[in-house]
Amino acid sequence: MTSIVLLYRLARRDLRRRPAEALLLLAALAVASTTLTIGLVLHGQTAVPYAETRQRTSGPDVVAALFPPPGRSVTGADRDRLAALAGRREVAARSPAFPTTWASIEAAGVNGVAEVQGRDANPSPVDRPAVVSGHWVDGDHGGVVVERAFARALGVDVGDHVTLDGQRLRVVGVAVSAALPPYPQLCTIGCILDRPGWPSAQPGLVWAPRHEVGSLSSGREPVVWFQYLRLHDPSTAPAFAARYGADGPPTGRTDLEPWQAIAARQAEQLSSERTVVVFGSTLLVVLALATLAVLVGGRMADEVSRVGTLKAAGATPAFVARLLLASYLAVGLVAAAVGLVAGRVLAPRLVARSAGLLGASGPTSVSVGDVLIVVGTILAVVVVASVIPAWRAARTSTVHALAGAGRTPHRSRLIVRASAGLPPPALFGLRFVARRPRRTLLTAMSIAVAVCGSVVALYAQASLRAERGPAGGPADPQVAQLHTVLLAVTLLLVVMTAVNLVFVATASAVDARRLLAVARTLGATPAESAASLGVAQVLPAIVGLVLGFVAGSAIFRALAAHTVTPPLAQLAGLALLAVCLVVALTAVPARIEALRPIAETLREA
Amino acid sequence: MQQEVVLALLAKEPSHGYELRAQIERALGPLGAGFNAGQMYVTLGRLEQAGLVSSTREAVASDRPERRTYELTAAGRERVDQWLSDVTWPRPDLTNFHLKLMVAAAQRLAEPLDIVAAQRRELVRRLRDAQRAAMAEPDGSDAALLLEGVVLRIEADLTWLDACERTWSDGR
Amino acid sequence: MSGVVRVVGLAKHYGNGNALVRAVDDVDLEVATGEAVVITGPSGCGKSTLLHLMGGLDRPDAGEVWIAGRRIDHTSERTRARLRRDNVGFVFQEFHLMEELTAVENVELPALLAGRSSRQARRRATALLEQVGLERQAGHLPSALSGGQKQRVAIARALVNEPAVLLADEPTGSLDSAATIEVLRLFERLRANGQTLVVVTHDQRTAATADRMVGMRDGAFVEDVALGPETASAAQILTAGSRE
Repeated sequence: MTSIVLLYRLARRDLRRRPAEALLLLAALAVASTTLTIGLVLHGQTAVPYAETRQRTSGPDVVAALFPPPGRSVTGADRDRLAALAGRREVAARSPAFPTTWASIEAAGVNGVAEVQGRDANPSPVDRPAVVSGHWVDGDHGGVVVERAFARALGVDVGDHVTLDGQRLRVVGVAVSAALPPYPQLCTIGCILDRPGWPSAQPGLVWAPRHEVGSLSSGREPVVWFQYLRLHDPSTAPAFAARYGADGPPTGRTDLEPWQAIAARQAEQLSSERTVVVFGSTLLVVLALATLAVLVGGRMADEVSRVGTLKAAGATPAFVARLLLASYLAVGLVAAAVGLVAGRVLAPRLVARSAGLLGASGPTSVSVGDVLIVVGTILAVVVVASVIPAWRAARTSTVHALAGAGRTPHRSRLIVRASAGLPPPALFGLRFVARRPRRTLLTAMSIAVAVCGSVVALYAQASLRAERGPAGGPADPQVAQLHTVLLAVTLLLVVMTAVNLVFVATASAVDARRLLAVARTLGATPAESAASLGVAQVLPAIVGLVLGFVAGSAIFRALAAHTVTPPLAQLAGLALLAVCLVVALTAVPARIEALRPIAETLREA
Repeated sequence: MQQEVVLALLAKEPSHGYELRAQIERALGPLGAGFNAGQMYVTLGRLEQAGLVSSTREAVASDRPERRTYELTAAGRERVDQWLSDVTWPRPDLTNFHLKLMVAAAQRLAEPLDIVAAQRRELVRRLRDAQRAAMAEPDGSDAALLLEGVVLRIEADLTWLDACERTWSDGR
Repeated sequence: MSGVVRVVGLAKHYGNGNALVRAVDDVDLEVATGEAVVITGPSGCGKSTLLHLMGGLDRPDAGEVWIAGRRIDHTSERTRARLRRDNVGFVFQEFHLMEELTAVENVELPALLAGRSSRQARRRATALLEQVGLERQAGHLPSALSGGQKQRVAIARALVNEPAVLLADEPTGSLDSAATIEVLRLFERLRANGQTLVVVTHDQRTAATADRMVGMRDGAFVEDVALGPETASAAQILTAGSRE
């Protein structure tokens, strides 16, 4: 018991003694756990809004679409067959059959394709779209209702006008339905896009009074009849669809789509976002590990003499190891908590702006499993990064530890010899690199991770751009969403790397302080001193840059089905930016260090 | 020259006066430079008178000076044993300087700190001389150890002078 | 003619108010070419600060510092660095060798800094190590050297650019008496060869090797004694040493 109190007291003192380091560690771990939480929250998140939308709009269990044979219209016999299907005993309720056609749509300069479905003013028993603003279609007053995701993409709202095949109509309402997937996935179910330029378009849904469909198509466009069915047992929908779907003669084919397939389409969009976030959070966890390793390794020299004091006072090696771990574990737990809360708050904002669903911004919950995964990961990171040095420090002989000797710098004969002929900054820079190979490796790795993430993001952006339809079309909310997520993850990566870099640069500068002071007594100018620290950082950074580029493009090629290479200028820009960032972030601590009065440093030594 | 040193040099085997002299000079190094050659023979004469050594004349060619071989008597041997077990040690006499400071201050004859400073200058000079002599000795020289002793003694005196200075500058 | 090192009215203070410490308080000193000067005094008397000021490692609050005929106290850090490189060699109590470099690599470092070719630097460093009697240890890392050997390597490093003056801060402070003798012998040889030396020490023994001893108390000089070149006779040393 006493030992726990003691442990607590010592660990708290330790954190207080270095608030900046504790905060930095906290920040690094919190960013990592935040992204991890977002990734986890996204997992399985679609089910909730879709289920809610389905319930609130009396969504169908099966969607039936009756297609006309090529070059003809649907006949009365075809419609009878649809009616017979809707009259089967598995069916509990059904909507009327709705005529549906396709038309060009134009709204405030944005051109696209609309799927126009003729509806009645009275609510249907199955599929009653939830009107989020304005009112439902009304045959007497005319005007159309636009699906919310499509309305957003077009930038229209109640009171605006849209032009359908040259016919100017007022938007009277904006609504959400679970019967068909929202824009831009609408055409994953039954679309006939037979006008030139249309096949690549992504139509959105517009509800219009029944008679408008007749006047729009006027025989030019094929009319498809949609009928929405509710089954006695919704779980049998796939079986029902499989049994009766698309089995008719080539004339008047009927497609049946179970609600589960629609729900899966909804999930698709989120799944690509989740991939981005999970990938990003993995990189961030790696970066957090690097930060932690620098932090722990950087203070070991200092820690060793403290351990010596503790051991001289009678602490066992195990106690010492526990104490070192305790300080970091405390920070790790706080970071995990911060990350869980931040992730919980940010996840809906970042991702769930799916306009096509109701309740999308509703409660997204963090499950017990999520909490365990986040806390577990962070703690594992902390333990891995600190247990080895802690163990080494604890096992150091007490006498050696009291003498305060840190790790003796490493010697690389090759680098020493190679650098002898170089100008002073390169000479010292290379020797700093040789002195602390592990720290150099960490710098390279941090940069590699960040660059890798950024490169993947660039590739992803390029692919997204390539997928987006012709310019001037309605905005694709999914692309915009992915852009946002990619940008957020990339920004987090960059911030984290920057923090890491400043930290490594500062640690290296402090480590080299005495040596630089001596070098300056031997005649090295402040500029040469600062430059040598810069070289020590930029060299591994360049290695990291190259590694990051190679790994990033390899990862994207492995993940994505088809790869679009981003413009060379962007990749070059990224490399330039990374180098500039490294130089700038290193220059500040290096400059500060290089201008420190020599006498002061020597007095401290 | 201490008689006992000469006696001890004869303890193992009889020897000539000039050999004894060479041995002592080696041990003293530069400090033996001022050693008077004749003094060895004076000492040996005295020891013979006291019955501690006996000498025999060696037959030599007529054109050479006569050579005497000296040998320890029983009494001489006893004297050497006594000397080896003797533990008397020179006492550093600091009383004189201490009283000088006291009296100078009490009688307002001089500033004690000035006396200390002057004394230190003198001792530093001596230290310097001894130090240079020590450094001039080749490696493994016997005399280096003696010079080291001299240096350490002066250092000890200088340390005491520092203590004097601290005490007197505290406004005693 | 002005000396190799000259300071005029030099002052350096730390802290303020009641806590004001006058580490160096209005000090004048001129060191002639070939002179070996020792600055001595109890610890905290300001002698190390004075040495740092003389070598341009610190800026004075007042006064002037001249090295090899150039005033350095008001120049930029860069100019001072260059000046140090060409005119000043530093030796410290803690040696301050680069642990991962061998003896000869440590010695050649200032030469490389001064822009000499690596071959030239190596040749000069090897010659200097021979001069300090460590030619056989040239390839050793500092960890394999004794304290006295480390300090001799540090001295060789300080001499590699043939400085006008060698500034040593407690050069024997971390050494036992045998190692102290090693280093003092080396200083003695340098002095004999006409190397200008300024040594700061509280060790009487190290102090006693100089031509001139400056005593310092509370940031100011209290004495400045020429020890003179004449050496006492052997008999005088003996009687002086055994002053019972």
